[in-house]
Amino acid sequence: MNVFRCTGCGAELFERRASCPSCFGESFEEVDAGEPEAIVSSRLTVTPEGFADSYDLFIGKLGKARAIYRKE
Amino acid sequence: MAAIVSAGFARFGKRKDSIMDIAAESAMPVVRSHRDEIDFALVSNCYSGEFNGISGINNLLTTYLSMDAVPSIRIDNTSGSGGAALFTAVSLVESGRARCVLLTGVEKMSERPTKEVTRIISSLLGDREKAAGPSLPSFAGLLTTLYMREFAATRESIAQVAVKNHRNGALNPNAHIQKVLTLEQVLQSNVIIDPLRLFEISPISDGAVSLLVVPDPEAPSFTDKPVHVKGIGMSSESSHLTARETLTDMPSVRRAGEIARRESGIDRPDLAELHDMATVLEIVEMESLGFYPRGEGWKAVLEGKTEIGGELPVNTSGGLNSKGHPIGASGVAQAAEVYLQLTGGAGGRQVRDARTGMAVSMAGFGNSATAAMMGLEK
Ligand SMILES: [Zn+2]
Repeated sequence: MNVFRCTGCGAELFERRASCPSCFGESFEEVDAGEPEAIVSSRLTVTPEGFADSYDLFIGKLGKARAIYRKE
Repeated sequence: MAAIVSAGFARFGKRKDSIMDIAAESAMPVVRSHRDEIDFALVSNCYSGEFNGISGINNLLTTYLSMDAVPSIRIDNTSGSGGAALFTAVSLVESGRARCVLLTGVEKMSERPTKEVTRIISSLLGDREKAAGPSLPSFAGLLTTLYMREFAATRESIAQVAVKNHRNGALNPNAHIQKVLTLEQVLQSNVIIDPLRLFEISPISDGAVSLLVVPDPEAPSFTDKPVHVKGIGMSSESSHLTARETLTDMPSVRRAGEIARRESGIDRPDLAELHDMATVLEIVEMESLGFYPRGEGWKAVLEGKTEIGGELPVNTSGGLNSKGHPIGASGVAQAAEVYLQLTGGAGGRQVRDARTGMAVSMAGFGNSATAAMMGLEK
């Protein structure tokens, strides 16, 4: 799973930004941070339109960032 | 600063009426008495485009109320729209730009299927977070697990918030769910977002609330019982939940609360209305506001400290949990509950001798927060 790494300070973000929250640099590279490591999960049975009716939602550690992801 | 001098309500629940009629039902009692004085209108509303297919609801509403020439602005700050609108109303009268602001919070959501409502509300997330398929309440499910893990809180303490808020809501004729629940009923209701159960999550509701906001010195000419906004603070936090250090603290709520406390000089209110979109949020917000130390809010709930008659009653209105959560109306309803409590108009849920109260309106999952400290003394 990819993260956006600031080329100025090395901070890693799950969500793209125009400017780095740590150094305010404006240049990022997209790099593979491997598989996220689960911190917490929840089984959802009410889900948004366009998605299956039930799955597990996770917050996990992904490189120096955090990720939100699902497993069906 | 500014004072609230009148309030009008349209019952929360699943309503057949149009969004305009729901808004007007809350606004007309206020407008009828003060039509000549109102010189500005704010409409707190988040999803009239998505849910009702309309734009410019603020001007549509002033026209519907036959205040055609009164200037108006729609305030959208997701579920925190009501607090943001109160902040704006106070700022308008403080600056002298307006002398009498009609503030109407309204939402009509119940016509849409739950999955569509869930998708529309999740649209406030970042692109990649949204693509994972969370609902907004799903973060409350994750937070419940994290909170219990970090602070050894019992599952019952979280569910007890729903017991309290449903008991309070049954005493509020404008609340959506008119049902008293036992702890067993809450803990045996359907799991919606593991571990959170049906009765721990706010329902999809329609509804509206209107307030009249005027400068403090003008207040006595409107009513002999004004409620003064003595401090109001607003703060934000990252929209990206993946950019936050923790979910068990709400920095936007903490900072907004600090401003409201400092401006008002009131450290601890007699009661508070908090944003309990899910039970666990009420506990975490109490801690972020400093009512209880971090990790100990759940004990206060179990000890009955947050009940009517307790040391700091929370969500006497029933909260979003039982009163309902018509998004744009919720934050206005919180301020209106404080107004009712301080003016002695809260009926069967009246807190005795209440002189100060706090309303905390939260956007997204703490993406932003507005805290207003109100009191009877100017
Ligand atoms: Zn950087």
